[in-house]
Amino acid sequence: MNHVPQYLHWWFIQISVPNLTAIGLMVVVFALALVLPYPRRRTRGIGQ
Amino acid sequence: MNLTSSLRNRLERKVALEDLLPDELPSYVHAYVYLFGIATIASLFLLILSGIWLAMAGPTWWHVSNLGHYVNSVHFWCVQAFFFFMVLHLWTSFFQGAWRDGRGATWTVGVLCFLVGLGTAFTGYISQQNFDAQWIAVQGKDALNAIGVGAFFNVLNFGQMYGFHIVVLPVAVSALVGLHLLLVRTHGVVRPYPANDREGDQ
Repeated sequence: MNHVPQYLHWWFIQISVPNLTAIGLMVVVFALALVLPYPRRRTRGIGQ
Repeated sequence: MNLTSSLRNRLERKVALEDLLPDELPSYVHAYVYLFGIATIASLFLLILSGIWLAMAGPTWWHVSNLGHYVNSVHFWCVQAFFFFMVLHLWTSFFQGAWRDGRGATWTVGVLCFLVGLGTAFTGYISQQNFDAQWIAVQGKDALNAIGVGAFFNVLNFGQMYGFHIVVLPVAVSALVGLHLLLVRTHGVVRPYPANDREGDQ
């Protein structure tokens, strides 16, 4: 961790590659959590 | 009625064991997005365990021994997981309008968890005892001096920052997360927004 990361610079936006990767990964995980079907087991649930 | 009995009566009214330890959940929580909160708490649990180990062994150990490097890395990556899942939990709560139906306190305490968590991570980064820590501390001091708290929160003072990081702020984060969890349990998970009824809109 003791080195300067690579930075991307576009207009007024400046962000390091590790930070951009983390944000991109979060968006992907969030989208997958929304669309992937949750496995349904035989559990008791209110309203089921 | 004295303070003890009034507190007991209040707890009996407000906190029911079946709410604290439910064995049934609403059907709408059967989705992966509802796992981000517990993933955050799991990260915090591992953070505290690895942090206790690091605090007992000390900076020399975590810098020179293989096991120290490993535990230090576990602590570091748990921080990444903690914020990763906390932000995903925040996105989920925001898009669900999780403050609705009397859940404003739950939302507010969650915001406080995030803010105090930021301070805990910051003091952790400047407690690493490496060049990265020195760089962050020297940059951070200007920001703190600019807002007028540099005299009380001196980021170049390792002892003060380490004390904040291993005692004051973790206790605050743990207490706030505990309160957040209690509020979630007592108020329940917010119902999703109703499905868009196109005929009703017209």
